[in-house]
Amino acid sequence: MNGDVRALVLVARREVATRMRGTAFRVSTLLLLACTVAGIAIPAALIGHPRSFTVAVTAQAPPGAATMASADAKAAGLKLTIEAAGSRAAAARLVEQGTVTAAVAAGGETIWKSRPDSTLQPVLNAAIQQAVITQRATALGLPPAAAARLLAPVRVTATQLHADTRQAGRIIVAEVGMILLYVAITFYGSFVLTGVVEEKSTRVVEVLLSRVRPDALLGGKIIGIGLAGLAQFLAVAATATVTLLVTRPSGLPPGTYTAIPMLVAWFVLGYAFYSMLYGSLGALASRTEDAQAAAGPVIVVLVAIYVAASIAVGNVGSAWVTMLSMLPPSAPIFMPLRTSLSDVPAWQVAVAVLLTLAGVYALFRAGGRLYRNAVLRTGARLHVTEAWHGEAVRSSVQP
Amino acid sequence: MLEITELAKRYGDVLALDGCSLRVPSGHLVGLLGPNGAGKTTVMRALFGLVQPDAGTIRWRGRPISASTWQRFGYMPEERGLYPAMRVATQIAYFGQLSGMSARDATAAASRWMGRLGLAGRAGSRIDRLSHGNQQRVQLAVALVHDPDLLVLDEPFAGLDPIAVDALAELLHELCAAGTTVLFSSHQLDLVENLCEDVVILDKGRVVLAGLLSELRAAAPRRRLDVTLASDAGERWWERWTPSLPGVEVIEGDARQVRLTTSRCTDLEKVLAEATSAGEVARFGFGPPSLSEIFREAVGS
Repeated sequence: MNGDVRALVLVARREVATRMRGTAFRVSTLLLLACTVAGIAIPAALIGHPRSFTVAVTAQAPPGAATMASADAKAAGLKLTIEAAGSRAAAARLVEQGTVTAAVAAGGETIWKSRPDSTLQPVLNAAIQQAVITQRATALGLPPAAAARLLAPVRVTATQLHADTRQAGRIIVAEVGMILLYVAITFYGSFVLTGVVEEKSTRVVEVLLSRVRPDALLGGKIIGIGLAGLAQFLAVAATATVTLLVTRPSGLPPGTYTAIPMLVAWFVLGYAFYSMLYGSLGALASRTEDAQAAAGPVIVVLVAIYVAASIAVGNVGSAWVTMLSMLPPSAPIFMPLRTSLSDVPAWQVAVAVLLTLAGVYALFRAGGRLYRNAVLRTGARLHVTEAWHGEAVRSSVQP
Repeated sequence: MLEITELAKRYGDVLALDGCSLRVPSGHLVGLLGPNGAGKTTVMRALFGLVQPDAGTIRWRGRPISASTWQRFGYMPEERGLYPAMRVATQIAYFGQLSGMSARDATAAASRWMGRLGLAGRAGSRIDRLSHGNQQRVQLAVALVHDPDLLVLDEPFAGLDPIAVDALAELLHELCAAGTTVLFSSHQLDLVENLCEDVVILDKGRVVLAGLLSELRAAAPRRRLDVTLASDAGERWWERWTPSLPGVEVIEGDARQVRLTTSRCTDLEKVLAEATSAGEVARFGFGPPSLSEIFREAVGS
């Protein structure tokens, strides 16, 4: 293996091991996973509709109502269990106890504990109507087979000419994704920042650079922390997918499941872009206290993009949103936002990815130069221009 | 053999190295000495590519230094540095791997060096939980883990107690005996006087003296002469007789004793006779100059 690549792998491996063994990483992973499960499962349980019901049917209920209710429920994707009740009083007691959700009594009466369930009620209403009308048709002399054909349910469909981009569900998915990306990029970017400054402030960097090139040191650090971050991000994404599949919250917008791998991909691109910035600017500081100040410009840019993205949620069709979704500093946050809110032409996604990759490469060149020039300079915080024109460590062969 | 030729480096207005040339023969222990700001650290950093010289060449075993030669060098910088939260054994082995060792070899070497440097019980300790002395030992182990061909130590004796100084000097001599080339720096000239035989003395970015200490002493134009009287003879008692002696200069003295330097041709018997005229001479010591005296002589201050 090439010496630089070997060094890069060693540095990256140390970073992964250090991060994963750290208490901060473990606690934050557990918290994130718990928040993901709770964030999906609790609203699903609170606002979501139950899919399975037990209904008591009295002997006096319209004949056939129970059978029809079961058939209708099955057609609607619900599971319905019928429990026979001797009298109306017995049925009411079962409802009162909560053993059954509702009861069907004589004369088309349905009994509920308080408010009728919005999913179950239409099913029961339709079944009772159908049963009573079938009964009346038979009484009027219509053969039962003819009555059944006459009363067969009509399938009514709805066609939307324009997809509703302001659908509440889509906005929630888009905003959660945006916050997740912003937090993850800032979080792991800061790890790169503090890692670089820590090596400078403890002076271990001089011992390191007597053995490895600065590019391998910075590259290994970014890749290592990125892999640890990706592992955490993937764990959250996988947990979110599984929780969604298990709880199946109602009103989940289409495309939610494709949004998740999209977020993972944009996390990788966004992290690559911003961690280079964090790492190279971090090299300008020599003390931990100066780290945040050195990274000030990145933090300002990220916050500005986050604020702009919050505004963009309500203006997803605007030209400026389209523009920002394709340009490197904002693309990693804006593009996934757009794709979860509307249908984005594939070429625009391709442009965003290519431009971001080009940005990562440009930063790798420029940031690498800043890092090489600044990493051994101690003392007061360096200015970018000072570092740019400074002297590099191990960048070229000596004269 | 390490050969540094006409190395020059300027930082703005400061000329850190001004045509510095020196050689360290293989298997030798060479002290790079000089006051603070003489350019010692700049020379050492240049050996590792941490400083880009403006001019000059560095050759190791006849070839320009490169990434592969750096793998065989060990370095302990003046500003010590380790990962504070990393465990001792893991840290030493990690640096071994960075110098090209396999994981297995690096782990074995780490425990070997921990044993040799008295860190055996500390393998699992975090660096920031260690005493200052033990941190120094880990730093040394990091520089030595890959058994470097050239060991470069910047101010290794700074901050050590006399026993630790002796222990480190002994270790360095052992390494040299085993074939390692060692270059270390110190600004405390008198401290290292008895620790190494080969010295290079740097001042203002230039080599002012280099060679075997015994030869430097023998070649020194002046000798040191200490005269001590049996009883006090008053303020500046030597002024009554020293001015008449050619080639004798006064360094310092008090009511009872005086330190002089003499040229090689000074008639010592005459000096003794003159001193006796001032009082009873209890001690008349004549010897080669100390390293710092040689240095002062060389830089003319």
